[in-house]
Amino acid sequence: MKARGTYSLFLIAALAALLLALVPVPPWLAVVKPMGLALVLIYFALEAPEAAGLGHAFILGLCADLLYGTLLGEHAFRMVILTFLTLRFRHRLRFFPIWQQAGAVFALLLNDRILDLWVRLLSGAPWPPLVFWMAPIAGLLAWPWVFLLLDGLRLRRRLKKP
Amino acid sequence: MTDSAPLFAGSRPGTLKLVVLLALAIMLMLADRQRGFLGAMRERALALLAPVYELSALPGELAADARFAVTARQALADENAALRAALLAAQNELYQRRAAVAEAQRTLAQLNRAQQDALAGTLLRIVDIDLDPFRQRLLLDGGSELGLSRGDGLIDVAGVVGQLSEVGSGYSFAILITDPNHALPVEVSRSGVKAIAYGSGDAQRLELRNLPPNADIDVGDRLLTTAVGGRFVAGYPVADVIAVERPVDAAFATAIARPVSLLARNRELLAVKPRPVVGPPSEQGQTP
Repeated sequence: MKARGTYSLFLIAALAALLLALVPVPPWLAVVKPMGLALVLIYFALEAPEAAGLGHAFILGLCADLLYGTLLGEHAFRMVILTFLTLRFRHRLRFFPIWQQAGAVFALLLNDRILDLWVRLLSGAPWPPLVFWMAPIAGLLAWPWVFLLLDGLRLRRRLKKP
Repeated sequence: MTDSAPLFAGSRPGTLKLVVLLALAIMLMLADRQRGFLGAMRERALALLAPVYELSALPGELAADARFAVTARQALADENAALRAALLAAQNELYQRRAAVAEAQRTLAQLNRAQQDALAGTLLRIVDIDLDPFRQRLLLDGGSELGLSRGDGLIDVAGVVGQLSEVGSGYSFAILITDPNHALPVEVSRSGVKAIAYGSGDAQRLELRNLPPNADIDVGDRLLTTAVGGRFVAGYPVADVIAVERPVDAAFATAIARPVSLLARNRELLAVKPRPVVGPPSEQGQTP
């Protein structure tokens, strides 16, 4: 059973997240901008794992690296680990109430931040400022809305396609 | 560990796949750090990404247009008057300069011609998109079609901003002098002491490490580019020294400097070609 509607929604959402991260916002907002691609990947790894596998996470991560001019492979590395962890704990996470799920997302994003920090320090960057750690909190707050939005879109697509 | 029997077949992540992909990612990172063939690939990819950048810069441009549309008439009239006055002053100066340039050109024609085009530059717009806020990189809308190449220096009205790090067709990435991966040879304008200014990752701070303990450098000194390294024409302002540390127990002194240019807060930057390397006289001999 191949849900093509879900798959195309996954690609559209991932591309939109990649683009949204580039849209300029005031500097104070830029540091709390949640990692959109990570949230999209977590959602689809939870709800439609047949659409979002590790390979997709890798390719999308590479796209992010090219787009943001970061070290090639950095986002790919982080997104693959994020998706793997989500898939690994998916059966437990799926039956959490949404606020508890947001907590789990916070932990995943925090882990992602730590990996990011590790890559940065290895490539010679200095210790980032404290606001660097704001992004997981922003992700925590954004998760319920992202979840509801993507869930609504996905179910509507499924209903439309008999 | 114990739930080894998957509840739903196919939904369990493959550990082998994970290991392979992670290894691939790590190899890519290592290869990219060496800036070899991957650099060329990235520069090619920049051309493909051009429409994406255009799209994501759109909201910012629309906002700027909207802001312009609702600017009060009075403000525009005031600005117009001020510009008119400035134009007049500039015109006046221009006439004087023209005379001076004509004279200088006559003199230059008799000197070595090689230096004349060293001051040519290309004006590039900074594309209004957010790259990583914790890294000192910029995207510029101009690339190899304008004759730019990797390593070209970037300056603004006040001083040195950075260099082009990847040049694609249509777009290029720039690295700022404050990026921790950037180092720039500088010279203290007062005493002529040479040093290397390293980026610190902080937009207000350059570090001059490993200075001799008795180096003639003081708070308030202006740092200029040197011809060493061949990236910039000598003499562009880079930064002002704001602190000098000479620890008694260390073999080296360290100076902290603040960049004089606006760095990423500019709207446009001027890309300047590195000066042709001045080597020993060629065999044909130099015309005096």
